[in-house]
Amino acid sequence: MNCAEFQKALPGIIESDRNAEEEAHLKSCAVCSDLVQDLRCIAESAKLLLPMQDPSPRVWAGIRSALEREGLVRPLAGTVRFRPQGVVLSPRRWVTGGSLLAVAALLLLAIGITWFFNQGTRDSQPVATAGVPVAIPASSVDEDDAQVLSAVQRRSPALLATYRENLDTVNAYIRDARRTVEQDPYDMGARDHLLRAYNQKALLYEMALARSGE
Amino acid sequence: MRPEKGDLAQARKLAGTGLSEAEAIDRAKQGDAGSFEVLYSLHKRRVYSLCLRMTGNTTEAEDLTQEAFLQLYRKIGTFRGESAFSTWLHRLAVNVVLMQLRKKGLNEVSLEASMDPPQEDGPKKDFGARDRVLTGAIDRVNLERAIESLPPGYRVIFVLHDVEGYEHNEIAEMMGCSIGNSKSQLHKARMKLRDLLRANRAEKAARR
Amino acid sequence: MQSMSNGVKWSLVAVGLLAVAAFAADNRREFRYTVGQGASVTVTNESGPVEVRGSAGRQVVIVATTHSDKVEVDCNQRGNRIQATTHFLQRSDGPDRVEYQILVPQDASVTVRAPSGPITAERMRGDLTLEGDAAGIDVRDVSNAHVHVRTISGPVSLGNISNGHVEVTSLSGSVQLDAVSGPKVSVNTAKGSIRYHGDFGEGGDYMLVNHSGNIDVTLPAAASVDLTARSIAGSVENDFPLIQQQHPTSPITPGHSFAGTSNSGASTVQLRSFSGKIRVKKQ
Repeated sequence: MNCAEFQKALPGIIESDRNAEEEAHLKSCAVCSDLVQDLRCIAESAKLLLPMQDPSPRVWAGIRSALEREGLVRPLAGTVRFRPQGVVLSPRRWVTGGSLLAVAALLLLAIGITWFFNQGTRDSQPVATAGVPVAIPASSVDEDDAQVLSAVQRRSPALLATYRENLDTVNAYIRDARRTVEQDPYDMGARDHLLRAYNQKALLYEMALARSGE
Repeated sequence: MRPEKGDLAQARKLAGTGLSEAEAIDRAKQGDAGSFEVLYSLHKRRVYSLCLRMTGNTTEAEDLTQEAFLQLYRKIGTFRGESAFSTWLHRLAVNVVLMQLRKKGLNEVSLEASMDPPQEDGPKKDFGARDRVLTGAIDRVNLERAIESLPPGYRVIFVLHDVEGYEHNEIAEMMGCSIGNSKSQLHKARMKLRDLLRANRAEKAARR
Repeated sequence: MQSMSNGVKWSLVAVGLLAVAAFAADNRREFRYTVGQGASVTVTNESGPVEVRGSAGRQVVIVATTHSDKVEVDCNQRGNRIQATTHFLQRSDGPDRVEYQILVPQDASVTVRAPSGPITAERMRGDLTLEGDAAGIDVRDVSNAHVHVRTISGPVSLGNISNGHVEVTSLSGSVQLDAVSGPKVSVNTAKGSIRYHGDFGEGGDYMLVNHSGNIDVTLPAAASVDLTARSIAGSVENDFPLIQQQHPTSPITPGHSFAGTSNSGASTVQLRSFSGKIRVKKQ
């Protein structure tokens, strides 16, 4: 048996018994022996690969929305409830309607743009506070998100899950881009992504506004 | 299929709720919201890692993870405990991924079509000098990257067999192919990985 | 026996009346308007498809089909402006879907807002502004006009568009562009994938950007492009012959970015993803 014949048969014999001819070739041929050893090494190493990564929080958010939408969940007495993650529908009534939403969207965009430019350009000296973004109070953003979802729920309940999921998506985009810009304020590409992420959130607010009939 | 890896003891009780997996399953069958979350926390990492390794794409893997858990929750009432819950969930997740890959284009996972240039299909032509470059431990990161670089059809088979521990007869049944075909594709996947890992080592050596 | 027979007869009559009533709920209405050059048509439809087609002549024809007596279609004309709106007489759990089929002069500009859609538009020479939340949007055969498309999760497909500005924004909808070229083409998604097949012609500025979806581009060898691609946290692959730029505007990081020129580099193409995969292939 030569190497070509042995290697052609290899897929079927690498994990199972070999006949005498195959065994003899393996013992006598260093090249094929090395090959088999390498392939076994790869297979063994693969067994040691542990599950290493968690999915992003949006996955659970999507599952939760779908479970509620499909009516698959109902709370029992004394049981664990869903822990609020991300958006919580605020009991606060939507008083001034579209104008407040529009202000929120513009504020968000304005803060984003102001921070964007405060990071400086390639040619300018870093500002003393470079790397420290303008803090957008988490509570005010969450409340605005909640208001948007309330508005969508009132007018177009069938679209609520879509808006909720996409709010998570665009918030994730903003978080990712902001983190990268914090690490490297001179990364123009990352800053561009951040601005686009804010624009997309503004778009979502605007379209939700239209759905709310304001 | 081999038992789930990781810290099983820790996985059995979720701090804060005190629910065991078995209790969570029973409650989830009755629609208890918190129990769904317990089951998700226990198994999300394994399911997501499987989806990610099989697709090589984080967005797709997240979507498929979501779909796998939703299918689980819809069908949880039919779980009778004939197999381990994790085994049942794992098989469900694999089927979700395979269905998605088929929807994207059967050729991508077809085991009949050759994904490689013709010379890679036959036996190695170079029977010259010895080339033992993969002895010792293979770096996990390099292996993960190499797996990600595999053509989709090879990647699926390799992940199912070598990483997740499915047997060829199980893979053949899931993918609708023959056992011989499954073995052949696995061999090609390993050969391709060998080439990728060797190239990676050579590149690193050249940089020194 | 006789009374039973009468009872059966009255039952049959009742069933018949119900059937007629159900049929009558499917109501097809047609509106026709004559307009001059540069007309504008706006359609707002909460639930149901909207199909727009360009045609010769100066007529706007709107055909609206309702399936319930709880929705109504309002159409009106003010000068060269036509407006069609679905509105609810009362909210119900029943079908409130309305289907619109619209013929417009090819040079009319059209605006459609239909959250659930789908929205289709074809054979137009006037500006299009199409907005759907979860609606799929499909646009074919448009030239010398601007196309603006916005969705939240609805997929977008554009084919054979030329010589106008194209702007597509979607959060999670996928975007497919086939033979789309113009002085300015801009696509932004968050997690939606972006696929482009074409030659990036007309010496335009092309910008395809997303957060985590993939960007796949296939172009012919004859394409004349100055192309840069960058994925901050994802990867890039290039199978298209490019001459490397001598002085790239941004540093090149192997595996995360590349830049180069093909032929005379007439069009500028920028492919940007935050964490998705960018792949450029030769046709």
